[in-house]
Amino acid sequence: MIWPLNRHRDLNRMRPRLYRLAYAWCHDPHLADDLVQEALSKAMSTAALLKEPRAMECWLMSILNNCWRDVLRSRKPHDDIDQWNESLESPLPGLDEQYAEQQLSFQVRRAIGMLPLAQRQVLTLVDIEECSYAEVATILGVPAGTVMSRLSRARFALKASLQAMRPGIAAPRLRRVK
Amino acid sequence: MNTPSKEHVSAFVDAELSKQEVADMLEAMSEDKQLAEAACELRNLKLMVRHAYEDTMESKPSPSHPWRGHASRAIAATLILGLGSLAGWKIHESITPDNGMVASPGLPKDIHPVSLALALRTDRFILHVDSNKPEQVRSALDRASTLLSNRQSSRQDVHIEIIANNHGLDMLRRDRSQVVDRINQLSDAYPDNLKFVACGQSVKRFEQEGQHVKLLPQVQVASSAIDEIVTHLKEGWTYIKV
Repeated sequence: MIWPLNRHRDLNRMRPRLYRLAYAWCHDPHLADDLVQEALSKAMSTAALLKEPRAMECWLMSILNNCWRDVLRSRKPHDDIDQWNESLESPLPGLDEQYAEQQLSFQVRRAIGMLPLAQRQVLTLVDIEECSYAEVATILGVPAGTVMSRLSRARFALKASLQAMRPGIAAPRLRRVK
Repeated sequence: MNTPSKEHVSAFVDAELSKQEVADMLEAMSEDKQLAEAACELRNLKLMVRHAYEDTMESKPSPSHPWRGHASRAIAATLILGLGSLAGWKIHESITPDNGMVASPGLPKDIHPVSLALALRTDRFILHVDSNKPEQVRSALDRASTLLSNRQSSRQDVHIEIIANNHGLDMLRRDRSQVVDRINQLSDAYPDNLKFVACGQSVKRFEQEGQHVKLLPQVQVASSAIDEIVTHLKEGWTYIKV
């Protein structure tokens, strides 16, 4: 199918956001580039016509998720992908990132990288892409209840990781002000 | 109400609960300080996750400086947490009329203002909008309007800044705002007391995505929403996440 020019443009506009999401999932800039390229290629070769922008965004994120799972499957063809959902961690930051370890954003990324894959995906879709639970359920192909429980577990695990990395990051205390 | 589950507290922070569930949650929070604290923590965590990847760019990082560009945001976020742990997050528990409302007359009942400074100013408010959901945008304008009219009718000085980032920026864009008339009306009524500010980082991000961002004439642009919020929090302003 030949896509009209504006369709190409619309898809390419999503590139930075898809890259950010892919990077948040795999924490590998080269792989994130490849995933985005693959997802956009697949989107352009598909005859789907989605006029509503948000529906198109969710559709692209869903394709990105499929690409990411294909990569994981190709790396470990004999494993059960559903088990990875509960266990797989992304690579830890490289040596050249150690200088930055004291910086909070890197620690947050590192803590997110330590989350099981399924939790990491739900967390980043909700917090970074501002997807609703229903949208996340559609993108990942899981029930909305699963989204809720994975997200909750992700946040509590993330909090625990950050507190372990930075004891000073203790939970904010509330104080009544009158 | 039974103690809400962790999933429900998370859903509350993500605005995924129904109106009745939100009301139940707020009532439970008014009686249970730990629950209110847990919700505040999750909100904080959500903000950290969002900002951890905000300036992730597609171009491959230079091997010698892979973290370039993240420093200022990381420092700002650290500042929030550093101050948070030193001074403690202050919260007007304005859930019932007999507590937070004492400190902040005119505030609606269902909001949770936060400040980082030791000396809190109850005449300065920064309202943060990060979504283009019509109810959130309307709520920000309603709250600003209520605060301004209440304070002015009692001859009290008040300054309010509405800061928008992410998709919340839509409300301040010429081509996308659904509330232009309302913003014009409020700006005309309170020219010296109400300011609309756009997050420069969000503007930059949308433009990198190929959008041409044109803002309403009364809108000012800050370097980033987080910098603006932290600066005001340090000055004692009260932060309200709409």
